[in-house]
Amino acid sequence: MNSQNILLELKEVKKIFPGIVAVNNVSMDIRKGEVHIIIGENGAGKSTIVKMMAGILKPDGGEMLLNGKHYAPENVHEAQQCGINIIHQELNVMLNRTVAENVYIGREPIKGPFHVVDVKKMNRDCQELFDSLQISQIKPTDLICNLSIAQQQMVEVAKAVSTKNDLLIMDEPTSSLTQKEIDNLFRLTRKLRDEGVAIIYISHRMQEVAEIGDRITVMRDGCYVGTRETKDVDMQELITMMVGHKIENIYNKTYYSPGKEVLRVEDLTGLRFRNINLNVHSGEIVGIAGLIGAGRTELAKAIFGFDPINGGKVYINGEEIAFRGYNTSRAVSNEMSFLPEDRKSEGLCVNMSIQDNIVQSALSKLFPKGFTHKKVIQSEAQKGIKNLKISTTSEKKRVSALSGGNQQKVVLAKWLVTKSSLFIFDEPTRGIDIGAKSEIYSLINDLVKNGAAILMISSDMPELIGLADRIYVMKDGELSGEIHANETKFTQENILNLAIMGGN
Amino acid sequence: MVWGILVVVVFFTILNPSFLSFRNIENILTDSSVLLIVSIGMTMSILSEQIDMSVGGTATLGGMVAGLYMQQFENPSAMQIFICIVIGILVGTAVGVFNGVMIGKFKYDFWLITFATMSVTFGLSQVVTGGNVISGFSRNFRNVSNYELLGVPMIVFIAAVVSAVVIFALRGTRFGMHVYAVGDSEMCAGLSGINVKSIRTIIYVISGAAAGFAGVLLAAQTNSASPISGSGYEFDAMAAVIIGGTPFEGGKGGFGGTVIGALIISALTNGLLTIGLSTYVQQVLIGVFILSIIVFSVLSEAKKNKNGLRRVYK
Repeated sequence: MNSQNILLELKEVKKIFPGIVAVNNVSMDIRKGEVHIIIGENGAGKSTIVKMMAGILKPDGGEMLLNGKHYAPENVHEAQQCGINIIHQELNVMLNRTVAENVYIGREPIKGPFHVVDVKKMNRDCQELFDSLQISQIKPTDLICNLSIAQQQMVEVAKAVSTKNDLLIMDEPTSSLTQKEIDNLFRLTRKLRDEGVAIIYISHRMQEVAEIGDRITVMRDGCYVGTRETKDVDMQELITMMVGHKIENIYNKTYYSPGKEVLRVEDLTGLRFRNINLNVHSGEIVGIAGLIGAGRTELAKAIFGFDPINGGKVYINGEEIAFRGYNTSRAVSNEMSFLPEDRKSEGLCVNMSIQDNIVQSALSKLFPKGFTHKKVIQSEAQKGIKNLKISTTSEKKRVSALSGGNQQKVVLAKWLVTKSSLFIFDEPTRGIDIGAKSEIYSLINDLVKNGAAILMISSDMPELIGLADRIYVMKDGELSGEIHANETKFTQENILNLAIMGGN
Repeated sequence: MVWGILVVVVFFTILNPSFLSFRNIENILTDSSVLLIVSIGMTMSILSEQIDMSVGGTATLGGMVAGLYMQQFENPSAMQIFICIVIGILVGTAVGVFNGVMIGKFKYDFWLITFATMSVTFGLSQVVTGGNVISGFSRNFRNVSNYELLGVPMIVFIAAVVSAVVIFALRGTRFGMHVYAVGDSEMCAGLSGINVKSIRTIIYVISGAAAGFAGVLLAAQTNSASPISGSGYEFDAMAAVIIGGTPFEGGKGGFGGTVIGALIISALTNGLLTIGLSTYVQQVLIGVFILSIIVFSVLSEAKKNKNGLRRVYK
């Protein structure tokens, strides 16, 4: 193996946080012109390792060598100057600025003796950049806050790609992208790789790993487990390496005959959806598939009382819900639960403790007289932590300290306390590793076994097919089809077809 | 923050040993009482990531209207005094309802609305008596604030009881938890089944009512109600809340902290007086003190946050 090919080498790198060794003497190498995938469960240390490479964190031990020379960036800026750039999992955009301003922040083109920003040039450059990346739906003058999450992510990608990089790190870049955008990203990734750029790609999506990676490194509990050439390895082996034991059939779906109707929606019309008819029975998992922008989240939020409804009817447990003054508070008292897409900004109060989050939706149930009791809060929280196997040393810790998978478990724990009959999940396993995913699936299955009705929005096709009894497909705000699990046309291709082309 | 008290106390006691005398401590407590009650609304609104700038104006208007009613009686009965207090609270509540509906229900910007309300209440206070000061209340009325029980004025007891109620409400009730949740993440609170509009409205109503009540107590305490009685209290209240450890970003802190903050401000003002500094110098020093507390609190939040200064204020 040609050592000239190695761009970045890690030697026994270590990172310690209070109470935990996040990265434990990891040695690995990244070659020029390769797409190197790092996979591992939550807490495996993947994000921590790349953050050290990108100058965000400093190692507590070991050494990094860039092109053979000692590499220890003081900050992100220095790392960028060494040609190392990172795109984060959480979006890092300035919401009230334009797309071009975001892309060129810190290096805006200037003109004139007073060094005024050359806005026209900036917009032109941005447009050229987007054209070269085949990004067509975003204009340089758009305000970021008006873009969808997927589009914001594309802007981040464009920004990182627009500087000259030797190493580009992408942390879960596809979690909000549609298939077309993912294809675009992969095309871009391959182009960069062919130009000699090294690319590190952290992902939980096993299908992508096989498609785009040249080599795959597995980490577990902060330790390096091994690196494999993608062509030499199979999925099962990788999963085993990641979790230390075999996980087969992660969905473990049991099909029950549906019980009584819990939710019925007739001709429902709102801001981003029209004439939706669907129903969910107890013991059922009903999936909603569709491209991003199809209106699924908007539909769910309207059913839950968060967004206004313009027409149609909603029945819960057979009773019609009056829309006048309908809000989430009434939805919750009607035994509904909603787990939003963005757990950090919508699903949790991140600066509050785990225990305060867990009891948040059930306060009326737990304390009907209005006076709270710390002991009750604590014990409910401990129950939730134990039942969902949330990994934390104390229920009083802030949620912000937890990993993505554990945060999602807290959200679920919160809604379990309310003992709802209808659970609406919006992308329940987005950005979560395979070990935690299978735990969440088994929790969902338990809910169903105990008679809950579940409505699940997901962009993860295998997940939908693996878990749902029926799937509704939405396209551009309308229902384009409904497929039952026992039909032969219950396939990814058909669902995608309905999502892209529509029904009829 | 507890240090804050210690520092202030030690500093001034060294300069003037009578600072720690019973009489002086009593003065400090008495002077902080009205501020404390005015700060109730300020604490709650800041906890919910908003603010109520109209508390000073509302207190003033409450005092003026109640004063107008009270001045007609040379020897008011207990019922009439009670009505007077109720009037002050109702005036405050009316202001609070306006704020609450505009901000909570119709979602107008809270800075705009509460600043506007502040202007309007001070303006109305002028209109009510054509700019004249009301004074010379009967002893019965003044006793509401000044009657000394065990050597300590009633107003201190009132403030203490009210504080205990507020602290309990914020820490031991569903409502309190809702306030914190809304302050930490309005989105999450809304999606968790919390009626955010209703919480916000209630906060402003409570704020107004408390401010109105404070206005009446102030009129009784100082034996006068003027169109500028409550002027400046809104800023002192903000200072008490911040010093007390409830930052603008919401979701953190509480009224217990505000109590300490109000005491610190009162102690500071008192101490500066005992060393004989002019009121202007006092104001500068107090301003500097508040500034350093804010900077200190921002820096220590930043240290706790991995991401540094960038993430402290949204």
